[in-house]
Amino acid sequence: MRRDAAVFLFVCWNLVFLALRNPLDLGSEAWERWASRRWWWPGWNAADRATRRYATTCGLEQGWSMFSPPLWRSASFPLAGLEFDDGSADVVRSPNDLPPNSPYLRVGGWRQRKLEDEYIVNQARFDRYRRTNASDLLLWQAYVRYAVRRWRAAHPDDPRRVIAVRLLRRHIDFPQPDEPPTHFTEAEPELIGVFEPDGRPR
Amino acid sequence: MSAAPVRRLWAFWTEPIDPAPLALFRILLGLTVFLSALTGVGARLALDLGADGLVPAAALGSWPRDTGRFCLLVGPGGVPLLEDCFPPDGAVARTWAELGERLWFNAVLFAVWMAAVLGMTVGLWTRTTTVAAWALACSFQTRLWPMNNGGDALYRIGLFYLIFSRAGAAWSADAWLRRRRGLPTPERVPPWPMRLLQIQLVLVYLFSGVAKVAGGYPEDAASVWDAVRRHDYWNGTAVYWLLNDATLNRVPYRLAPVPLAVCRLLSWATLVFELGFPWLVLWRRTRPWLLLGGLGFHLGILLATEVGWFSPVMMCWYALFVRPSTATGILQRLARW
Repeated sequence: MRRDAAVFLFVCWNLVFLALRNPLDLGSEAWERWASRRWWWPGWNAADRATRRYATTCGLEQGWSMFSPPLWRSASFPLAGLEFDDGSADVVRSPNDLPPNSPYLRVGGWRQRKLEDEYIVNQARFDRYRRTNASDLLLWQAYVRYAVRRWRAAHPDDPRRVIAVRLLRRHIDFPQPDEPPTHFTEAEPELIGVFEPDGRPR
Repeated sequence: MSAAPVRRLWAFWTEPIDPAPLALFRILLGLTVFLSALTGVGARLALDLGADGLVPAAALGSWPRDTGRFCLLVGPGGVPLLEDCFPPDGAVARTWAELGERLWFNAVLFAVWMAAVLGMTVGLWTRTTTVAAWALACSFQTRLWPMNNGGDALYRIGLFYLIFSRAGAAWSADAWLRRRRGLPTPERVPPWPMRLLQIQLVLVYLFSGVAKVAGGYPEDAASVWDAVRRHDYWNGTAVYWLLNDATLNRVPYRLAPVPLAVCRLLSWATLVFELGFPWLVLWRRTRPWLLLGGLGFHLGILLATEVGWFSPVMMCWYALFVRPSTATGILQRLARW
């Protein structure tokens, strides 16, 4: 009997959790603006906090928004511009940055893409973490060292020494539906930040 | 008011069920988690979690503690009892955190995770191995937080609810051992964990559909009609843009140029499928066709885009909706193979 009651409560809690967490995790700002002026907002907020904690502790985060609109019209890839002690320069492209007009077959590399897409090329995040000196900044520093390591692995006998790394964002626009499928346009790469070869931001 | 709907609802939650669909889900999910982790985490372990890896442990900061997450790779923080035994400023927690920076320690935990997943898949000490598989899945995903996607979230949730089910009651090493010892094996198991899993999948589709129609309207639209006309799913260009996305498309669009008319049909079909799933799955006559359509939908995503193991994980969940006889047939075929 006691076990049945526990199961009943567990099921009820999970149903409440799923019913609340799914709309909440859609994360609509318009809804939040509207709801925050309602009398029931404090109660809703408390339910939000309780269900959020349960979700994060048990790994039950919702928020199903894969391929939600607007779909991307462009792609950004990180590009590391290495500067050497003799005044010369070279670039290291992301392993996920396949020339869009080459005949590639992409298999794997999606975790690398997530890291680069959501963090490395995200200027707003970089600026915020740099301003607050947040621990997340270590991701950019590690990425810079990774780029230097990749260059060194590709050029083991090159005597040049890297003295600075300019982390850039390469940006390409996809062709519109009425344009030829090869019509990708690329803007000048934008600077994300300048780093020492050991990853420290300058 | 008739009591029949209430009785049916009660039966839905309480009437014991054949364990075959749950067993099929356990096996398919176990295999998928194993392959996903091996190719997506194991293959990159040194690159991401090694010395000077792409995701340094220190980058986690206080985020897991602040948000109630736990990560067994860096310490006992966030785990009830364990956290009390080993306070964050104690020697054990400090040593644990230092070990979390070492590749060999992460590799050992990865091996334990894979062993637990395989144990769960074959149904050996099913509940214990499922708890371990879930706890280590959460830990690795917390540790690699900038690199997760929807597929990771879905298998983590699947593992969590499997803990409460009798998923090892059939088609498992546990059931075989019980039979060998002359102990009875349950022919029917409590349904509620499977119902929670089914409801979870229904909500995944429903809210994916809602997110597609509720958001993404251009802010500079001149009128409601203009906003709808320029919305990727209403005007049917969503699939076109997805196939052109040079960060995740499997091959360049020009090598497999799907006509715009087909892209439009596929975009609209996606909305119909996702928003219709919760209702069409309820009806026995539409359910098989819906599931077949869903398999085609996810195979299409798998062939057209590189989004990790999202599609295979989604397809595992379909096992929860097949008839017990169908699940048994699939399991018998798997066993013969």
